[in-house]
Amino acid sequence: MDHVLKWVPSSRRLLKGVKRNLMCLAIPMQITAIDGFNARCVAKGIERDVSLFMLQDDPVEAGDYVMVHVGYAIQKVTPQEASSAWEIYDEMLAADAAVAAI
Amino acid sequence: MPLSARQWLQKIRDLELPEKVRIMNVCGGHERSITMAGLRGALPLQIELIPGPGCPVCICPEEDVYEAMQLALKEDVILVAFGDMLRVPVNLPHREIRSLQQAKAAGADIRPIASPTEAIRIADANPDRTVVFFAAGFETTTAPVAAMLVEGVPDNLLILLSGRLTWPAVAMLLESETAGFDALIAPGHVSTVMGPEEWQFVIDKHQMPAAVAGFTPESLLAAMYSTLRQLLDGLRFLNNCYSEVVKPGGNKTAQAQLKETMNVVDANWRGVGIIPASGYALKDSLAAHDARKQLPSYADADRKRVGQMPQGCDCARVVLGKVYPNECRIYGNACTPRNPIGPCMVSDEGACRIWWAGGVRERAVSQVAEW
Repeated sequence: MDHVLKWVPSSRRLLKGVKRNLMCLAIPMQITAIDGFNARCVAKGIERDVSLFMLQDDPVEAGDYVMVHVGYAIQKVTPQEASSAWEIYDEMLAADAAVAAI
Repeated sequence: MPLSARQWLQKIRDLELPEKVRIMNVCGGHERSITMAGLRGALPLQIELIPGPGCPVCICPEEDVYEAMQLALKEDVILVAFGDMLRVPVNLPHREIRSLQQAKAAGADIRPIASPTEAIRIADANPDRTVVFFAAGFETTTAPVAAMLVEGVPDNLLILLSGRLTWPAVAMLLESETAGFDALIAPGHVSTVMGPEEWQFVIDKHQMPAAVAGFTPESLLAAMYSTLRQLLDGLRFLNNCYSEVVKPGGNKTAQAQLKETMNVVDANWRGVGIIPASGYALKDSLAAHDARKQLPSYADADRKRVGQMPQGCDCARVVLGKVYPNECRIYGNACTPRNPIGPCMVSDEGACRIWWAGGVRERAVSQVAEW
């Protein structure tokens, strides 16, 4: 029965979620450049423009990691937190493909 | 070293559980992870995992979807909305236009968006036209709309706001005589924005175990283990099992932006009715950007009376966790993702659609008494 646990929201699924806007899921991305309240962010080679307007009490800089939801960074996270999240997501890419086929 | 899902599962299996424990989640993302990871099959039989009111698309009032459709069809506007909203059907005869998607096919200028920033881009690119942003969603999605408004929007962008708060629906269930659950898994990203403290009332007022969870099986199982231990040990505390992202107090900037732009008002939930202090409305200072004030209202009182779930559809009880999706009379028969009747089968966050995607094809006989 334990095999069923091998599913987690994969990076691909989550990034697809960005496109299809699952309304409660935010994903970790890394900031590559900042211009005012706009940031260029990357995750798994996919780039997105992200607003930093909701992070004014918690300033960020290029290289930092943020949780992104509907184009807005809602929370800064540590590199360890982001990478451990992605690590789990990565492991599960293969398992995810099987689920996606349903 | 954090525990793996397997280790958490073993810890739960080692507990001496009562005959039945019902744990409710109130987030479509949680339900998706639970279903796709097969947690129901892996957990001890005594544990029931109940999907509760966690789908903003599902509870968006029918009259608001109708209003959006009519504005798109009858006014000279571009209507933008999160993609999930486009397929939600309203209660009209089949020969009429019943969803934003059908209105779009009939020629209305309706565009799906994935971010409020896209609404601004579309308004900037079409300065001669009025753009209406139909903004439905819970706190996590409504807060970015507030941020967008504080930052400033083009004159030609109007908001048709249909934002909702999650916790009042849980409070309503707990205050009813038949809450139907024994422990709560609180939503991770709503808590990221609003602060986990929002859920403290579950502990303080109702003495019910609660834990905030993230979206991996590990985090969900950790939260379930916490609530079970609380039940068994007679302890009660709000356990934050997603502390890497959910910080005490939440996102203060986001909360200030919500407060600056919106009032909390009594609001209608599709199939549920009015829940006190559960909705967002734009403040008077933003009247110039309020579609409800700037454009005609098509949702008259009669509309509101019929604004329930489609006939034969049990979405209302699915949303409240009173029945499981496959206990609905039309699940998998008349209502499938290809041809959805109720909003819970439409949205990626609807429990019916998640269960269908998770492979549940058989209808089950309801174990729950009619109410």
